[in-house]
Amino acid sequence: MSRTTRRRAIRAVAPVAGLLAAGLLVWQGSYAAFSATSTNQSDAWATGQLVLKNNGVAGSFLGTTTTPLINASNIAPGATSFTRCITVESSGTIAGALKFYRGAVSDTNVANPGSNLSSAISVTVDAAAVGAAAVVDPTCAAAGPNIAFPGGSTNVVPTTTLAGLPASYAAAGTSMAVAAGTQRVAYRFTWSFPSTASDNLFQNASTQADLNWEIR
Amino acid sequence: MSVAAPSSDIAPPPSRRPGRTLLVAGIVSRTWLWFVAGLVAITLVPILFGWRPFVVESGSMMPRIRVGDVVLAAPTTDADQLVGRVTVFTDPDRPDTYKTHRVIGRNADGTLVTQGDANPTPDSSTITLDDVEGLGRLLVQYAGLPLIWARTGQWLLLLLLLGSLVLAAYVVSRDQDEDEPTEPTDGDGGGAVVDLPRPSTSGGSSAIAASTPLDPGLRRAAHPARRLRVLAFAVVAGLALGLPTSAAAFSATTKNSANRWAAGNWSYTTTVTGLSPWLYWKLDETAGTSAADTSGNGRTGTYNPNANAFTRGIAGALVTDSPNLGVTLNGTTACINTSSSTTMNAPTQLTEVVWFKTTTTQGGKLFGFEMPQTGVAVAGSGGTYDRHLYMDGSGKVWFGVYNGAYFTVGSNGTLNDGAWHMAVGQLGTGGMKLWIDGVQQSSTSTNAVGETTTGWFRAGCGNLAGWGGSWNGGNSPTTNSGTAQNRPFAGSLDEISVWQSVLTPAQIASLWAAH
Repeated sequence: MSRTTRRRAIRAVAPVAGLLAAGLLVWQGSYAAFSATSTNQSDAWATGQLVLKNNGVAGSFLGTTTTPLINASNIAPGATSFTRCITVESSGTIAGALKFYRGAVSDTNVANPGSNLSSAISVTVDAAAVGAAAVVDPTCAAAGPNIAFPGGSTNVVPTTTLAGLPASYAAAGTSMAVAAGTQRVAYRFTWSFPSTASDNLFQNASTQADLNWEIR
Repeated sequence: MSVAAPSSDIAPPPSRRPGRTLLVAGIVSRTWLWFVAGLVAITLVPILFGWRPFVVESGSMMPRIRVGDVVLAAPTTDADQLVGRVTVFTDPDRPDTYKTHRVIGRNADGTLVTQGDANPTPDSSTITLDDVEGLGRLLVQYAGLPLIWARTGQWLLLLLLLGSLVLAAYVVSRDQDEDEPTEPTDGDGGGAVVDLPRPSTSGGSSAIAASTPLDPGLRRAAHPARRLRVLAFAVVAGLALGLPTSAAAFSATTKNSANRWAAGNWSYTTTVTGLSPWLYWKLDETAGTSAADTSGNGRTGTYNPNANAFTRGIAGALVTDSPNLGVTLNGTTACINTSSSTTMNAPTQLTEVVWFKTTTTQGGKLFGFEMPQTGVAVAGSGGTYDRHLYMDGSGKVWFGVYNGAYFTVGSNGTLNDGAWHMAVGQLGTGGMKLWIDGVQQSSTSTNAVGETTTGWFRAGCGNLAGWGGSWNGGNSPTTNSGTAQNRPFAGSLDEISVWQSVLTPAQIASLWAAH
């Protein structure tokens, strides 16, 4: 039975080879993924499946735009229905759900520290898909190469105060479905400073907030 | 390695030439089965010392971690150790799911910032150490693919994998049958294990168990020990099916920063002047007979008949202004009229605003357009008087316009309560409207035209003959009587403004808001 013995010896290679292959696979995969020094690869961005940018005040589309869409100074109670529009561009390779939410609110009121202007500013947010290339004018009306904010928009955040706007993706209101490829969604912010019995407390107060969008 | 690799490893059926071909096929099959068994073991054995496997179900950690890979996470309580490392944690936005992302930083408050390698921006929600399920230690590539296939309904791939395992097991047992056709137990360790159908981490174990008796090459599986091993493997594979999955969710964010709202230092005065009035008497004077026009249009008024008819410098109607002064009329002769030496045409579009305070039950004219400039004229003798705000004896305030007939709109309630009130009368496009304290009164008129005449504006006195209403006391004018009925106002006045236009409701609301 020497032939059988030899065959058994040859067969014994199989478990070693199989387990070695499994071990190697795990070892090299773990090393690549979990080595302690590895950080977020910059070139990994190139493989990004979802990319989001906004055009600020009708400027270039960037991840972060620093020219505020809304910069209202010297406002007084009774200021009504100012609209400002911004265009958000998704250029992902997969579809996602786009939502708006605010960043942290920073209030300043020297005379009446407890009275936050962010609780007095009223805001409504609407959104509309505008295709792949259109840019909505910051005034929401057609101007130059920019289009007007389209009708048939979706109310993504019902009227609330600036402080009352959702502050996280999980809390955000209605999402906008965005298909794969380059897609743009215009957002319209309608804000007012309604007069109230106690609005004199807001004399010279100011408030500041980032506008955030996230797609998942 | 591609996901389709398992099927390509299947050796050709060793039917005609048992011997060398069968030997090679047997080795390939054994290797394949041992490879799969090894992956399963590496996935499951670490559970014994507290590590937890998570099947990655989406691709935001690509290219290093792909969909279907299994991350083995070791428990950790050291937050510093996590920074820069792949971590499995409870998704703060969906507390019942897990997420596998890299921790890229630690905030001052101890929260951790995470990001998918393939995502352009960090996750918007931070996590705490309590959320962390474990630190990624081992990555078993592909081991979770059968679970992903089962979840996403890719049954063909699943069947191919199971088929390859069954076929490999069949080949192995044929290979052994050739050597030891009658021997009931296995000779080498490799055969002892590999001749069992070895499902992957997928849920295919039951299907294999069912097919086993039909496979002639596996007839020895009827042996109790083999049955036990089949059962044991089915249990382990079943456990593997219950592996938790972990999302590595794609996301991206964008931001427009530092949007700012800053309230000004507003006052009633700046609000009125901001609306460009035609005339604005603040009545802040404390001496003299001239009432300044703050509109900038030079339409000064004259305190008539003299300064002594007024008590000036009283506390005014505004809280946002300094000085805040008004005047009290003597209720008999006091009147303030435009000083111009020439007449003007009666406005066709008009908004007139008067602040007043009284407890009188005699009523009186607050403000209106009248001919002549002073004194009381008789209708039908060249005198005209309309476009006026007046109070009746009950304390209700009216806005009246003459257009061949008497058109009036009245306040909802009485206002002789000793408090300051703002009355706004409007004529023109939209008809006649009356606003009290910023609120439009329910009474309106579609009459949009006033008497075509010339004259002057005046406050505090004037003819009201014919304007009726609920008067009491002596000397009440009666409807359509033609006599002169001077009705001086016994009360205080402040902040009189006039527009030759119709202000919007919002503008009127802003006036009230700014007081």
